[in-house]
Amino acid sequence: MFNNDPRLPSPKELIILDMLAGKKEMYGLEMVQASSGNLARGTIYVTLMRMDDKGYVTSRQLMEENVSGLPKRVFSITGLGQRSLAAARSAHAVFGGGEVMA
Amino acid sequence: MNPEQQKRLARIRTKIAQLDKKERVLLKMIQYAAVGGLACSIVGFQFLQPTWVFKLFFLFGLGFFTSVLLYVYYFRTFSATKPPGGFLLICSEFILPKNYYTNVALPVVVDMRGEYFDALSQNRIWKARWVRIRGTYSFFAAIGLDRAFAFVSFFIKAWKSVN
Repeated sequence: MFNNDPRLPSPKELIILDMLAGKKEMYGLEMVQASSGNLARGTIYVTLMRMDDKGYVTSRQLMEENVSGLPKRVFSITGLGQRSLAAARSAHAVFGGGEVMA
Repeated sequence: MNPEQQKRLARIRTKIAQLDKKERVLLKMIQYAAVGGLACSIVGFQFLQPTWVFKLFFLFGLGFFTSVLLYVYYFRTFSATKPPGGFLLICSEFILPKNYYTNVALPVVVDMRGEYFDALSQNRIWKARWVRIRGTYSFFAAIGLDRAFAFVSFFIKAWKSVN
């Protein structure tokens, strides 16, 4: 429903932005588990990389030691991402007839 | 590392230490049973065939074969293996651009390893195996999708520049 407008995030991007707006930082698997089937393990990082390119999210590597022995990459929402999420919510409230996100 | 992670790491280390001790004892027992069973069956077949002692020694021979089966099963159960995704990482580091490797390939493998070690720490071997298969599929899906997206965007840009 938002795909026709290139200035607004896609539905998957909206789900990610919505989750990141509620929390400070999240990593990919955490988002997949929290999305209850809306996001897939194979596509989450491609979507996040695209969002990083667009400036909706920013990422950093956690340098602390973990069980897997490799650094985790955590993502957080940017100011542009928050504005895009707010714009998408209000656009849907006006043209879509209801709330799209909680 | 936060205190919760330290506790978890200590618990895993203790489990590994216990496994090593159990491993040594089991290995010794199986080795003695296998050697003893083999010796008894050879002696029985060579010298004691018509007598009742033969039956006894034949049973020891069966014990030997059982020990060998246990030995094989034991090594299959407790053998050390590499963490999943190592080969995929090496290949992707060589093939993919650094940006894709850092942002797509590496996080998928990190997630897969996290889930894999979580499953192993709970002794859920079959879940760990399933995580390995699913993680490998996710890895290829991510790389394939990424390349497909790059191809489509390149095609769109080329189409726009022509028209």
